[in-house]
Amino acid sequence: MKPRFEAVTGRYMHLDLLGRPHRLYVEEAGQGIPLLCLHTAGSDGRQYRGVMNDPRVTENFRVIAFDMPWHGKSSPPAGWHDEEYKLTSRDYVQMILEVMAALELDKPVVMGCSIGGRIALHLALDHPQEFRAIVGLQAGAHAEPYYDLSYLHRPDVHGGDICGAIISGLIGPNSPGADRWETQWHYMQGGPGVFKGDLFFYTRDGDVRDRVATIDTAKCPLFLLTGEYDYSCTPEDTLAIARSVKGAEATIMKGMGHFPMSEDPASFLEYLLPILNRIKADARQSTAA
Amino acid sequence: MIEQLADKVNANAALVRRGQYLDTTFLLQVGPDSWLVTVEKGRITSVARQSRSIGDCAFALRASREAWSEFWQRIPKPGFHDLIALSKFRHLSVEGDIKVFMSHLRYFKDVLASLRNTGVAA
Repeated sequence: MKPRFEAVTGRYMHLDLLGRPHRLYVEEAGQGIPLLCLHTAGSDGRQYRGVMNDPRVTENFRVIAFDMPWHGKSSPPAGWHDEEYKLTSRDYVQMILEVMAALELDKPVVMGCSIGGRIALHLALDHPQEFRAIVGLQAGAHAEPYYDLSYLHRPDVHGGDICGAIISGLIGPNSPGADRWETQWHYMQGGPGVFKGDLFFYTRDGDVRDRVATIDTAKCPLFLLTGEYDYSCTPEDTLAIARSVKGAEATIMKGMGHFPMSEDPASFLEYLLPILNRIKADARQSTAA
Repeated sequence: MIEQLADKVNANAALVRRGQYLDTTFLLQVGPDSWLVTVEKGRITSVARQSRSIGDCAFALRASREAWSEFWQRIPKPGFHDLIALSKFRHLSVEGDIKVFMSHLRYFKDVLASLRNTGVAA
């Protein structure tokens, strides 16, 4: 095979996040409307490789994905070695807004999956004016733990092995083999306790059931895409949001699981592109007006 | 047939290697029938009909015939396609020493999935 480079570029950004200095890894590709992508719990921005490498997206969108602190190639902040990592709603929202400000993104589209889909709901509730549109992948208002989360981080169980094995069934059964295993590899590479720390937000702190119905889609459009085989955020969890939020649009993706952009990028893009085309058309209209 | 488990697993070198540090016995219950499955260094050395008592087993995996039958389809329905999914929707109970099961989760997922397309669903 002839070697080739992708159009994706990665850089390290130094900034203060949540009041502490951080070194954050940021990837991007394309130009146009900023599309900020948020990865799932315990993984990193590589999940969006398919979106970043599709010219149908990058000719009109500047796709950006950052690895959250503690994830991927972003380091935890100095002092991490004596801390227990636990993601909270407040920190997660703050982090996203601070990264947007640092990158000088003007009204981006935000697209997040799983914990990223949940925080997208928080953003729709509390900061709709900051975004052009919000795309929630595998987004539900709450998730109950369905296994003993302590197994994700204990010295007598291999963290990489269990994190990969726990999420393996969340991938749709028809996903291409290479993408299925790439998706699991990201989990196997996670730092000790990081997946579990993210799930504190997903299963405890990030619950928005009591207020999700107050999302105002007139302030910011909300699109929801959820895979049929996801048993963490089920199709029913997403459809419940669509029923309670006026103007929210939900689509269930046939055969797919919890990591659509990573487990089967080609199929996912067939669902995403019509949404991006509508966002693009709306941008043209508002420019014309 | 459940007895095919030994041949299916032992013929899969990657799966045996994944279980190379595992020696255990677990109970597999399919509706009214139960089997005692013995694992030695990742190989299945015995699959024997057994009473439903957990007895000397490390742990037991129990589900209805219908639930396993759906799990063993080539492409199972959503919710029946994975052991953790079965457990979440209360089709599968995992009892006993859960740590053995969780610390070798991929191994056990693959062992049970090895019976897909063997006619065991019928």
